[in-house]
Amino acid sequence: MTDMNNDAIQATVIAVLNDTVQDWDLELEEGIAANTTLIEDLAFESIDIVQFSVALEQALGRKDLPFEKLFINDGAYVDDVTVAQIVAFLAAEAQAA
Amino acid sequence: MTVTDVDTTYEPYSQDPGYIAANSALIEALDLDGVSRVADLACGTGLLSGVLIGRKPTLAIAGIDLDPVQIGIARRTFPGPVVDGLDALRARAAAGEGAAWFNAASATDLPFEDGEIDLIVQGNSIHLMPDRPAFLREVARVLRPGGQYTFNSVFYQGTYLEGSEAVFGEWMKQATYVLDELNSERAARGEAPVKRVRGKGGKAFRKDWLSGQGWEAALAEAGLTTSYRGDRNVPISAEGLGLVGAYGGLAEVLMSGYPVDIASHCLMEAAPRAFDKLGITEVPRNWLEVRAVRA
Repeated sequence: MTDMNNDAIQATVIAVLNDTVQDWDLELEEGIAANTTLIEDLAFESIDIVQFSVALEQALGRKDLPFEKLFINDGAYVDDVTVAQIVAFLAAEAQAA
Repeated sequence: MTVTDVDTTYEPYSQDPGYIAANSALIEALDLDGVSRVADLACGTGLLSGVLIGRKPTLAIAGIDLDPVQIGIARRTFPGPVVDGLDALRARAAAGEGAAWFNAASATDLPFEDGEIDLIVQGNSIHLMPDRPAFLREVARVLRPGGQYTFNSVFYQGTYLEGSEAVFGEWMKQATYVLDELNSERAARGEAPVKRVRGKGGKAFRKDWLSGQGWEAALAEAGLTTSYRGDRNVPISAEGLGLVGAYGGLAEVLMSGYPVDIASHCLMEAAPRAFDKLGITEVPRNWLEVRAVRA
């Protein structure tokens, strides 16, 4: 992951999301993109967040990514997360690694 | 442990030392002078009622919970006389004799007269009330002027101590690993993976938790004046977290859409794995405690 640029990270995130939602009967007119949100657009439930996080770690060859930094802000859960925010989080973690 | 061995009722967690300590502290802090008629709302297995009667054997306690299984446990395990109706409980109260009556019903539609109750206690369930303003108005309705209402909750803004969120995240991750192992075992037996039915849980992050200040404002709206509000740090052990996860009511939320027995099994198995992985023996968590008085 450390040698991936943002485009490659985004492609991986979208691939994992497509794999996650493939059987969900969602109606996404333009497919999953940078501005797609996990909750409003993809109807993620709590366990979906966890399973997506695990799948993302496996796809990126990383373990123990601190997803709480992404999903919790000032002690409270965020309202939603876009693909772009996930990519920015992963890029920052790659730089810190 | 196999999936079928998991007890998904609230009873195992209600016997966890940390859970008992948190709830006993809530009751021990109460002033019971002038109190005889008590309601224990969403009483579960009757832990608070038991602590109350231990402190003051003349209390007449009405325990109410939606779940008839838990009501059955409360009736069997209550450490005092149990009567089988509200009128019988009222008669005991009039005679100055203690007892409990446990009834499977909603806490949002109470069977009491206006101002009939001296004290209402509610352990770790106020966050579950679907219509908070209506519920708190009902609490205020049945309390006498000067009557007390106390509750605690581990689901509010402020429950997580800084840095502890990662422990609960790791717990959930480990639960998915346990599920993966179950599916591998099923595949080896030629069985289909555990089926999930999506759409049974709410959307992620929509917890709608209030802060302590938020609860204080909600109480004030209902005519209840907060006399005490505080956070109690109660560490959770791996065993305690496993018992929390085994409770079906929580498991069906955390692993929504999976069969409850399997979700409970995964969460119970995951707790000690998460603690082992992180090299910890307990995780801190705050309980909100509130006492309020009806004007």
